[in-house]
Amino acid sequence: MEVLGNQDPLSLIAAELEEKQKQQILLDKQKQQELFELKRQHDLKRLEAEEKRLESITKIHSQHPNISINSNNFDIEIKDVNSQNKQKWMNHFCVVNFDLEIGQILDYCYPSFKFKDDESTNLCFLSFPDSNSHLQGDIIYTFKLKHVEDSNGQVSYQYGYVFFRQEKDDTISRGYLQKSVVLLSDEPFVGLFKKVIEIVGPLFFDYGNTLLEVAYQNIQAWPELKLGQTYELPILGYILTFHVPHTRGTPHIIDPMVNKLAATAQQSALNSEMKLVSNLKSIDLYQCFKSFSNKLWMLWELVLLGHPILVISPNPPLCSDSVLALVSLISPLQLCADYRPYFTIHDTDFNHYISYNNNTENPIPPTILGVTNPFFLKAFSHWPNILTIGTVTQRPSNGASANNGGTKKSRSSSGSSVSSTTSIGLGISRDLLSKYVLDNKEKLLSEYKPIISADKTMLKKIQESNDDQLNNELLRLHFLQLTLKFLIPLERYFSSLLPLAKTISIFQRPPRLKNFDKQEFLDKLSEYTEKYIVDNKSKEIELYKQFLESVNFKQWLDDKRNEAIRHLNLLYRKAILEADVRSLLKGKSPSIALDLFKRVKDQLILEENLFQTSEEIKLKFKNHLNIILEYIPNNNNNNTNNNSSNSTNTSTTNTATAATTTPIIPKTTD
Amino acid sequence: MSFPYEYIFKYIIIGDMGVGKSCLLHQFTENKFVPDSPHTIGVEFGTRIVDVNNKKIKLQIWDTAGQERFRAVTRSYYRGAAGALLVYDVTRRITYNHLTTWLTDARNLTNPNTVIMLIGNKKDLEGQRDVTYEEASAFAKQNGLIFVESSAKTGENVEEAFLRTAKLIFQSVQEGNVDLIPGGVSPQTNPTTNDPTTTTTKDNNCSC
Repeated sequence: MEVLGNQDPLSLIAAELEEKQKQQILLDKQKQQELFELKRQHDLKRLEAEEKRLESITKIHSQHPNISINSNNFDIEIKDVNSQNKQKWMNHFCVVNFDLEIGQILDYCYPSFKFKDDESTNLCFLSFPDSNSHLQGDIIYTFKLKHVEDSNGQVSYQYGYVFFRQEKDDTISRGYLQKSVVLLSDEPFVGLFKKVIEIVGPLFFDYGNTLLEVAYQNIQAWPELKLGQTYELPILGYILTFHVPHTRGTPHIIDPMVNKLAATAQQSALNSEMKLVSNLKSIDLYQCFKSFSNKLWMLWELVLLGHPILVISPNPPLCSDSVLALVSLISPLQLCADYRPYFTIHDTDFNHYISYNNNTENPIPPTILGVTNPFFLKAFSHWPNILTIGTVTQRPSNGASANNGGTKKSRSSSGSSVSSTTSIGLGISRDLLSKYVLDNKEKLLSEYKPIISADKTMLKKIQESNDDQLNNELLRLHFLQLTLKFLIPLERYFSSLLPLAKTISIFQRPPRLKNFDKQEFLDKLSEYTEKYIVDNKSKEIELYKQFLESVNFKQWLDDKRNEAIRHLNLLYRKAILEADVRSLLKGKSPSIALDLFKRVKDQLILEENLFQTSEEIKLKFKNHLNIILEYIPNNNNNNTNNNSSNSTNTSTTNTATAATTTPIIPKTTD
Repeated sequence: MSFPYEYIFKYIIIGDMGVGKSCLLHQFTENKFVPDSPHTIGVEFGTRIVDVNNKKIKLQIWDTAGQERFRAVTRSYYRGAAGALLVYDVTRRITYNHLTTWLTDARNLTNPNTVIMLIGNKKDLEGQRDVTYEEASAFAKQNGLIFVESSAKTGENVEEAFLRTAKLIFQSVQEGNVDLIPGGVSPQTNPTTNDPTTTTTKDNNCSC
């Protein structure tokens, strides 16, 4: 202050003002940060609430009001022994290169693995675009790789997430670098793994194979994969926040709020280290079907009823996204049909698909195929539903000139089937091409007469809005609700098949479910005055009738039954565990006690052999057995006949079957 | 889903092979010492929430491989680090001699405001000491680094190393050298220029 005192008052004031301004700026900054923080917390809360809400919606169909498993002292959740093996996040990283002599070849695989010949061929072709080979840049897409078990012919699939790079490179004799890096996983976490491959891909081209080793180790170190949990997953310097869906199988797409949060994270540009991933963002329903949003309801119906659909697109990213969008359209219902986000004419299954015709003897099985090669239009022209999506000018990256159909990557030294298809491919008629692909129009070719009609208010809402992201969320919610509404009568009928919780008794075998009687269901449906998703009652009944014959219904029913049986077993176990044996057996005849002994014993056998039961529960069962024994008077027969073990642990079946014929009373050896 | 912390600081641990980088990480995040831990492939990751000036801070620690063949790859992790722990082995002079190379990397690939801490590990092996405290201390002073000798085996000074770095970063945040970003902090000198930390994966090779 003394130093300042020497200066003239004007400069003093100026300095003071400046100081004030500085403080103001600091204050403002602080306020802004506080606001930001508040907003973030608010967003998080909303996200949490919304997630819970959506989860509860999607869980409705797997729970039943009659069955509740609260109030217990044990962790009585039944775990199947079979589901014990740990789920892996991913299996392999593969590099597929283009060799001038051979064509696509598998260059590198980490951890190293010997694929079967068929698999290796399919993997190579699926990892490369099979048309428009002259586009430049990077593309990311998804495919499904089929695996057939040698021993039992069981079919399983891996998901492949591809980062394909094509760029001019004069050092290569061909003049072009064409290479793919692929992540293979059993999990359809499309949003997560597309992000991972987006990070890994470019770094691989900088650092080579070592990088894949590093990325693999990163993923190996991720926490154990469990359904319904949120994870922060580190990968190559990034942290991905990912919510694992509650159900397995189809690419599961709910949780729009995560998506919102991702947007705010992007807005704060500095926050690049944190990336939020949601499946929703990676498959944008609105973007995919922008040009025919009015047809979405028809597509929903086609997917719901398991009709075959061929999706044809100019490039693999659009093609795989569209197929995945279709599959997820009926979420939370799981699509049971075979679906391939991207399929090539070189695939070993090509001949399998081409063998079907569209008559009743040999109908095309429920399938959704995504293809990019226009040759499919000729080969698969008998397919009842063909969706042409995207136009040739719609490029995934820095679009090079359109060069459609004519360019062929022939695989000279490969099998004869391949070269033959290639030659047919060249023979494709220009008319077909121009008719379906080159006219740059997206369309749905189908003779199918849909039962449900488009929701006019929803359509209007979308058409009036300019917010793509919002539109996507609106559509997602709409179709989620549509599916749930559709399921209401089915859920209701299924509930009537369940035994009441109060019928579960320790003295009786677990009650059984009644069978799903399709005719009875339809009869009941026509009795209800309520309409669910179609205004016309008879049309609605027709829709349900068709659904009952579809693969999706079969799967839905199987899942429901398994879930219900599991719950019943749980309740039965709980009834035994919580029973007060002494008061139950007070004044009862020994034969009742013996019967009870047998039941508890049977359950213990199940627990020991089928379920991963905790020692605590097993001990409780054994204690029960000991108590029950007190109510069974000693029988002389026992000493003479029963030469089998007297322990509760061994030869249980022996005693159990013996007990039904003669009242043999086992002793315990404690 | 909730975030029980107010800031995230990104750390990297660098230095020659076998100086005990992973052991320091495990000691700090899990309070345990694994004597024969396997070589790190590329990078390992660990987190711990610490308390600095009554603020909850999540330390996001990337532990890199010292092996030469991963050197190029691990460089891509430096970006956005608020703290770097530069580790050598007090019983092996060669690891000390390589510090200049590591330091050059760290300086080139991180921000001027990144707090770099020099750690002389394996302090418990006093009998085999090859580098004196005074010598390393002088090196640290010369290069403007903070310095501590630690033992991942006994746990001595391990907390200290991570916490002192966190305090310095936090101080830097408060002085405004580092922008306050709720949920993530990355050092920044000039807000008007395009900070490398803001770039997406595609330009990660910016300054390499």
